[in-house]
Amino acid sequence: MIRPSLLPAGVLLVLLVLPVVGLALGTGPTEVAAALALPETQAALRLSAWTSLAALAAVIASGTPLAWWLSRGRGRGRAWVRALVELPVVLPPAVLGVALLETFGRRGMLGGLGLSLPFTSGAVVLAQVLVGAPLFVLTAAAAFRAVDDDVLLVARTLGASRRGAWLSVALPAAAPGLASAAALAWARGVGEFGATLLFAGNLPGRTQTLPLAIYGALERDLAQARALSVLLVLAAIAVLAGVQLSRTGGRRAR
Amino acid sequence: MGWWVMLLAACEPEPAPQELTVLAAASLAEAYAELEAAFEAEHPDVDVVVSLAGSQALAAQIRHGIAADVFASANVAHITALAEEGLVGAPSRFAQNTLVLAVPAGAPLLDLASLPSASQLVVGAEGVPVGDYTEALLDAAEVRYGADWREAVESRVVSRELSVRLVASKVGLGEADAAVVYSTDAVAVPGIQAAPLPPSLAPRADYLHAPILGGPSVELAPVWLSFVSSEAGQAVLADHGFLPAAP
Repeated sequence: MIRPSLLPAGVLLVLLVLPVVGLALGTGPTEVAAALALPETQAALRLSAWTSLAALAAVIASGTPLAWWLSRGRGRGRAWVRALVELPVVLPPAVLGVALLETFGRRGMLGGLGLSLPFTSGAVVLAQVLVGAPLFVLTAAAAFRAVDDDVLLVARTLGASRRGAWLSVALPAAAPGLASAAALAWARGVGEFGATLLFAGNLPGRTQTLPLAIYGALERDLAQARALSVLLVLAAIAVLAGVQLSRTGGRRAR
Repeated sequence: MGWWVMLLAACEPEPAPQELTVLAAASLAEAYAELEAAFEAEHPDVDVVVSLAGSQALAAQIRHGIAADVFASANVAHITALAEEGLVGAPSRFAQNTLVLAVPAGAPLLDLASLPSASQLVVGAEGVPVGDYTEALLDAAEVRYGADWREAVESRVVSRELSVRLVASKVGLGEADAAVVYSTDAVAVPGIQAAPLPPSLAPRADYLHAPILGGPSVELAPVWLSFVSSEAGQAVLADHGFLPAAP
């Protein structure tokens, strides 16, 4: 084995962790509790919770079949679809926000249909779907790729229907990977900021998600911004821990 | 021949220009771009860098220790608070602005009484100067038009934006039916037309500037401040629709 150069790796690890440590050191539990008690925080928490879960449900429902299809071959068509799925990942969120305004705004491409999404909670969900879906689809496709066609075939010969074989064989085998895909998509959706700010606006209770509340608070009350940030860090750590547990749990079950 | 010119230019020791960083309220964008060019023409050894945002955001940046030299705020509250905290020098007023009721170009103009007929209103957030001026305007107008009017107006607010330009651009895009902005924004931001507001109800916006204490080019700050207040500086501001500092 080639021995990796440990110094740059160590520096990178420290840099990855340092901002979180700095944030934690600057904020006490009383500050977090005080921020949690604010009605504005609770409104942002509730909005972030339900919009991100709605977005996640939409992503899983539409992304799972797409990921399965992508995982079943390597043709040119699939390569193109994969590139399309990756597009929102490489687009800056601000670009996505402008694009959404130009598409779903009153004077946008679809505005003639009487559709007006900006400034609604639906706009928040749509932005979260668009940034979360690529992460889900690509990670889930990787998990599905490990499912062998032969195993599915065996299940079919044992009398399982197409759908039954998929549900009883493919889905359980890919479950840990699907769980991390969902967690990644959810975390990205909760953190969505740029596109939301431009496309959905900033109204407490309707479109002001936690990241927007943090940005607004930063200009008024640094302590509140710090406390809200700690909340999001705790949520992120909980998600990571959950993913890790589902991975090791999945491995043990095999 | 060209080579000789380049060689000569290379021999001439050209000192790096000194940077003067000006943090300016978002509504000052076009006026300050012109002031920057005029100042640099007068002082070729100085490179002016103008950073634009909502005054509340700039005040927060100053509290976080940004390396800048001048703060130009669109209201009194933020800059006097900074002066009391010892972060900026004594503020002085250099311009004023009036509020207008903006609607998308081509839409019928609105007045305060008919404001509830707009279905989507966008305002500045609390702490954003234009947001606080709008709040004061609505408070004053409520006395005239009643609590039901106020409630109807509030119920149509769809977003609280973080600078006056974000408010104005939502009107320019046609996403908002109406918004209170400065008269200067109604000229500077495309796609907007505006009706004046009654001076008895609408507060005047005050623009104050001050040197940021401990800024990297703080010795240049007074030069910039007196340039903005000079006849030439005031003429540029007037060109962009600002009112003179003296009431």
